[in-house]
Amino acid sequence: MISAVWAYTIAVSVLAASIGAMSVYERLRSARLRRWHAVGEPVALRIIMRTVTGDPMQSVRVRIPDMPRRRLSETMLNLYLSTCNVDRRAMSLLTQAYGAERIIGRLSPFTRGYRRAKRLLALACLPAGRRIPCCGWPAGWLHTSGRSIRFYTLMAEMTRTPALAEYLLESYPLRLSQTEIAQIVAMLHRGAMVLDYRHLLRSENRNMRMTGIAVVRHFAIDTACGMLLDVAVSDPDRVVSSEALLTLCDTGSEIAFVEVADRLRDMNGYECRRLCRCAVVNGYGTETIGELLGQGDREYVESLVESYKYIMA
Amino acid sequence: MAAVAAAALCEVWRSRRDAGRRRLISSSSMMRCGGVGHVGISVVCSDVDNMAQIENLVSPEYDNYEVVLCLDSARSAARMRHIVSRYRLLKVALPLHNDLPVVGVRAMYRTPHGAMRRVTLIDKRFTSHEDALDACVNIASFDYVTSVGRDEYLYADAVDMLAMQIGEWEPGEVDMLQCPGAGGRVVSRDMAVEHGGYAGMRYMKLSRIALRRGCAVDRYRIVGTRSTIVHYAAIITAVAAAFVIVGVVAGDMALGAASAATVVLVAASRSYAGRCRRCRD
Amino acid sequence: MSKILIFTSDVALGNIIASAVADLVGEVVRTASAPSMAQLIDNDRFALVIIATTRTLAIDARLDAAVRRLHRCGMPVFVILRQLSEVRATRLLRSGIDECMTFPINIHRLRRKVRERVVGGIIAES
Repeated sequence: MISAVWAYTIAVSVLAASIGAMSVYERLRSARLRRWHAVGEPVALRIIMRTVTGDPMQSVRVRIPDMPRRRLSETMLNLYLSTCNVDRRAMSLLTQAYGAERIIGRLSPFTRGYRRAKRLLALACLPAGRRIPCCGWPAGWLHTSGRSIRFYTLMAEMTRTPALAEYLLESYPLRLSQTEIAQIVAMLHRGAMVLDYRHLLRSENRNMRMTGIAVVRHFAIDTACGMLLDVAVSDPDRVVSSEALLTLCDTGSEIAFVEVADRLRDMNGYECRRLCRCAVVNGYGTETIGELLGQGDREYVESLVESYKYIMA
Repeated sequence: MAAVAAAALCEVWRSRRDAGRRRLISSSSMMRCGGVGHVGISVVCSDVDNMAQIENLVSPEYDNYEVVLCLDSARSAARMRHIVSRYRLLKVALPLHNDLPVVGVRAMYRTPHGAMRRVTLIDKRFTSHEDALDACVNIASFDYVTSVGRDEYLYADAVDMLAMQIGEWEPGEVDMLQCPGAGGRVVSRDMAVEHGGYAGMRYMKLSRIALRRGCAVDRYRIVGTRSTIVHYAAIITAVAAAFVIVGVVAGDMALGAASAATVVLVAASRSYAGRCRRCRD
Repeated sequence: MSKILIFTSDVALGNIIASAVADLVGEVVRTASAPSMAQLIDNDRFALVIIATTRTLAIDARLDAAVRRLHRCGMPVFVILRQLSEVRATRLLRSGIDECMTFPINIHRLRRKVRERVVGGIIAES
């Protein structure tokens, strides 16, 4: 009869061997990926490029290479993430022909955690074909506990039904983080959905306003400065008004800081200094903002501005 | 021994989860074509004059990013001149007021406005590394600061990953982001000032601040073959020592085998965790 | 036939750019290090050089030097960067770069610009 100690030894040895096997598997996986990047991916990309850069008015003939479907899906995803204005009809046909949507649609219910979130990201990026249902299982995941899964489900829904993008954004139950908003703006840049920054900035929903501010900043919409100033002055949420002020600084436009004097007085030390740093980095002088701050913060701004002045002699 | 084995397995599980999270962040970072909100990171360095390392530190393309170097012209005058000419730095006025008390700052140089990279060089009399880092923190223009030591190089996507992770929280909610394994710490500039700079933070209790755990190692050291051989030799020695000390000396072979197996498990889990962390795909 | 040199340290990105322009040129040469790029430029003539991210060139001084070298050899330069502000774009164009683009890459625009440079260059030479 094996004693407890020997049983423990055997169990630990088996676990150590398993972990060693996992290390070897990871090493082999990296080698396979390097080989794919060097050999398989250029061939796949040539075929994909020939399809998506052809005349959009002509019928698209898709040639299916004999390659691993998952790798093809990842290559198409990387292509989408790195480019914009790619013919969505051609990409949709490629997605169907290469079986990418079977991979995305089939694996997603059975993968867990971050892998599931990545599959949802792929679903959001690659144009849907005929086989993935328009409703049903992706929408159900809006109510799961994983934050990343919820967010990428939202992204997938927004790109699937661009006409409902604003509604979906408004009804999203969680506060969007800066990272998530940056990704929504990136999808906007690629033309996967359409959002009107004016609707967003005037909305009563916090997520909508934050997204609107991010859109103005990303696309450098100078005509929105007045709306941003309104948000900065009147928004009840301090984070939103602070973001609006910082975005105004980024635009480099003339800011009537006097109008936001009340808001500046309400800011805590962290927010104040953050605004000072942003203003100085964007070239604003002491006179525009220093007068509205307390003594300590004014010295800080003056010191920062001085440290940017070149010594000519 | 069971507790040690359980901790090793937890490390493996956590590494796998972090690897998945890092792949997700990497994909979403690739999609991004601008900054993450207003998240900005300043890298501060003391006594770093290796040009290859400086090139590596200034190469990230994140928009709200800068490098602040602190050198002593009395010790490395030629290297300072080389840095100033290579990056076309211009002499600027010294700050009038410092958040952290520092002494011995002689001069300061910055890249011109609109340059591709923001580099600031401080000429300061060397007293200690913490003092030099505090001088860099005084000048840092962004909200988050991380210190990089000699012979530490940043991974190509390190700054993007850090920004994405910091951006998952509301502004001001993160005081410190700790990278796993051999990675560094990104601290909020205002928190660093509040706790007396790098000198004060050395003895700071981490429970007093909002500490977040990152998922990606942001830096690496270039190690030679000798270090790898020494590393594996140490593992073999530890296994043999566990077996000999417990099994032979104590006279219980079963216990010796169990302790040796536990050491092997720990080594395998550390190796796997390290591999997961270094994996960049 | 015309040759294009693509300089990038990102393998996947290099594959994408190479596949986008492969049918417009005779040969696509790729490199990931500045010294090997300098050697290739010295030994061969390229119709166009595409620099995707300035990661390995790191900063203005070296980028300017690389661009000046390319201009001395009469080779046009395209630069593709992650993020670009107006000030930096102006600075790059002033230093002699022929075209600045940012991510995400507009494949059609890239192909059009490459076609203008490469095919237009061949007609001009002939």
